[in-house]
Amino acid sequence: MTIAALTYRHVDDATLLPLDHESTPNWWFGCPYSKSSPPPTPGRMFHAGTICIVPVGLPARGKTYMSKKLCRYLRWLGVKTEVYNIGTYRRKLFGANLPHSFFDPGDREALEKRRIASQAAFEDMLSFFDKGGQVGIYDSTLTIMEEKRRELLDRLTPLNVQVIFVETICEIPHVIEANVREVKLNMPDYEGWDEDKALDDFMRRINIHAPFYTPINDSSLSFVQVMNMGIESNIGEHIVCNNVKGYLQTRMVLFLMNLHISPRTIYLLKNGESVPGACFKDDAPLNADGVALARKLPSFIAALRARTNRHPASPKIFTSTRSRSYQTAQFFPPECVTSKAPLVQMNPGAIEGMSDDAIRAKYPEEYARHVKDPFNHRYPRSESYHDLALRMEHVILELEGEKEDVLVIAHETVLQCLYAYLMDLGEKDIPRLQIPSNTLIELVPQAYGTRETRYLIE
Amino acid sequence: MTNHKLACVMVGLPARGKTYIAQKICRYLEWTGTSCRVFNVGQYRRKTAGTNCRSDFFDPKNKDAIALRQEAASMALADMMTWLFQEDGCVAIYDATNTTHERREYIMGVCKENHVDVVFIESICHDPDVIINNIAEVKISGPDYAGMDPEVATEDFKVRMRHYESAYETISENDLAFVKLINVGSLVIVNLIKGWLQSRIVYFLMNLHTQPRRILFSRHGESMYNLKGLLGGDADLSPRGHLYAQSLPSVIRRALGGSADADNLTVWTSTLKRTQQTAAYLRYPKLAWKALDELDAGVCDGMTYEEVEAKYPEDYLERDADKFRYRYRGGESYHDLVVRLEPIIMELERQRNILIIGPQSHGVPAVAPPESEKLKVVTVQLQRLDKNGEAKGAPIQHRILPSANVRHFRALVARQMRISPRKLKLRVTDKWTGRQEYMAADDDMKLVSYYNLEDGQVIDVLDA
Repeated sequence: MTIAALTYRHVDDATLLPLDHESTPNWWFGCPYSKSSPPPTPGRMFHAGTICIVPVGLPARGKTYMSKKLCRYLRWLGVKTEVYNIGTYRRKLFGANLPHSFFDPGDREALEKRRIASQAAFEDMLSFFDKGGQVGIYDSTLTIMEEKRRELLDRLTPLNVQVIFVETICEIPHVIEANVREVKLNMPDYEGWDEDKALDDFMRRINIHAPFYTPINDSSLSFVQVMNMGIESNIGEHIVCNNVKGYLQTRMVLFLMNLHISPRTIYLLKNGESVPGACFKDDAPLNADGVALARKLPSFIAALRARTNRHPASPKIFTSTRSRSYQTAQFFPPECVTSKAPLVQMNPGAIEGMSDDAIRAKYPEEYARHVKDPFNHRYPRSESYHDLALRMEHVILELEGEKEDVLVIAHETVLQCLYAYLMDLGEKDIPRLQIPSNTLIELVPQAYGTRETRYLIE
Repeated sequence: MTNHKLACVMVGLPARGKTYIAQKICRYLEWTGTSCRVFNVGQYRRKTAGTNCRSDFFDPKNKDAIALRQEAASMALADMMTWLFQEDGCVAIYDATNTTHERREYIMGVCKENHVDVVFIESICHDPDVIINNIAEVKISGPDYAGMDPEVATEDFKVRMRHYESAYETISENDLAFVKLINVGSLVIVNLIKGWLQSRIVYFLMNLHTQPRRILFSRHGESMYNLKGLLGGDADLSPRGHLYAQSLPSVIRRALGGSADADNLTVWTSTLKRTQQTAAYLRYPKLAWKALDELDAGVCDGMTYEEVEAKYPEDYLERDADKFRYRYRGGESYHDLVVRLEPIIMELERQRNILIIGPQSHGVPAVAPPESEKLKVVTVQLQRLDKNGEAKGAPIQHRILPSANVRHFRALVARQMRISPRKLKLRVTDKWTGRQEYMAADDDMKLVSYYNLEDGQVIDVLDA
């Protein structure tokens, strides 16, 4: 029995390899989908197929906030995700300064205009799926109407797109008002308006939509109902999931259960310097400079937090399980510090300690592939940023659910990933991020973005 | 993990799958390293009232029976509290019907007093076929109906269910933290779930299904590193390994054989060449996972066990003492491996038939061991025998984990006894059959548990 030459393809994490009858013996067979479906591209994960997430709810219920958060989380998992906000399209086509009567779903003309905007967004979403996108979030207010939902379903199901509705319900007036003040009044629609008048106008906009709102009650649909989404409450207070099947869909529900909008701060700090020349696998301790940094840390942070009115003086600390990481936190009270294995730096594998030129000389093909796709590419025996991100997902979810302030002390590669997640940067930016030493990065997540400040530790 | 104690309280009519769900959660949490235990009130009730309870025992109008049932419930609750606080448990699962507001209030009261968080898990099923199936599979063969005619038993059980149904109050208290699983998870209602652990449990529950499926495990074929006895690395398969890969398809076909969805199989491999080469001849959809890679041996990668022992002797003994938590320098521990494998386990729960081709280290964590077979440390006595077969010197105590590697064990013993590993012979006498067997010198990957070692067993050490 001869053993034929086996050709190996570079396999990305959990990518389904295509059916390839035409080419020479390729041992990677098997594709449960028809031959006419496009070959899988990187970014399609867990053989989940294409998904369209449709947020449903009256204005100021947190649809757009939730869409952005979900988009960020899914992108970070390596899933190609895009948000299609109909409001943005409407603003492009018809301008921002519109009377609230424009938003009356009973007004035929206005509805027609909004339909044009929705159609434009819908077509963009379809071309996104064609180009290999996996999750599209279709954020429109008009989905409160049963017929619009049915229309969406009828158009997407023949294209093999799984549709899942996420309905946000909130009936507490002061929560709605707080949402509006925090978020809506900064919209381009209300630029230059007096705050109270803007609030009044927006509340009228909500009330205009109210009679046309039909909550989802069709049990054949796949939907999630989230109640009481507001600034003060825990987002996942009461959730109903009907027919939610699929890895990404259940993952999304897990994410929603951990979301909250309570204000808190996240600090990022690079590990102290360790003994030079040590290889990745040697668990090298801090050198003198590193220990000096560790000594300065508690007082520096206490002073900073006192200045910025935060309590308590020392936040929760997450470090990795390597010496130089938890030794940087050694002068804090031990009950604040937790070592987490997923925060260990990215494994450099075969290219450890090599300069760019050395890598180019030794692994020219790998280097070329790395330059093309630094986020997904793995050097021999090493991890890619994507692997690192997956590994850290545990920590990311914990961070999302954490209501207290947290300081994360880890290696540069890990901080690049965390920073990119919190600042909503694309995966292409991650490998190029610079995280300087001896600098404390303070991130304050807010409704639609994150505020960043950097402090140099003298 | 944390100091917060959690009690998961099952709620639901009989034959709704409460015990099944409780066991699943328990196994999942134990596997991730959170101590978990199920307290089944039915077992306590059998202790107080015997196993011959017929349906009239469960009649809500039967006052004496009610007193006995309440007693059983309180005993179970008391034991639960003892386990949580004195044996440092983390999550306790209280498995009973708990179908009345009153009972649930009572449980909440006790838990609040002791500062234990409570999550109610209610299982509701409207499909009569599923219920009848549950009764047939689980209840009739249970201890309550031992030796009875199945039809009589089924009728009696149905009457019992009707008694429960007449008093059933589904959870409507919105200030309680609960999860309602309706119709095997097609509708899930989550209320007031807080924190990492609770959301993780709910997520796990959402991914469960009760459809039959099989999980097949295979180690990768012999690799070039295995031949040389080296750890780690990314070696190709040896010729024997290739033969194994070629014979895999027929083995799999035989294993899946007559089952209805024999063709519905997914193959999972790791990113290491040896697993991918082992799967090369399989014509099923394949997925490669980084998370299934071999345990990272850190600085010991590429060394033999003897070299590791020579270079890092303290580490070698430390590994023996607590193999689960021991972390190779610059590498991982089994516990890290468990964390790494967790997303895979979730995906596994969702799948139908699946074949996992992985390295040896994955056999232990991936297959959650039932309670009785948990890794036990066994202390054996090594007795050195001289050329005439007589005992030479006092026996030496040696602690080993049943999952330890034979080669590793032999190397250790050789070092301790100052015998050359090639000349060392270890003889094990089976306690029941009296048969004597020599621990294989060449089959080095065999587990020590193969020899069924027990605490205090004497192993003869011979110098051939």
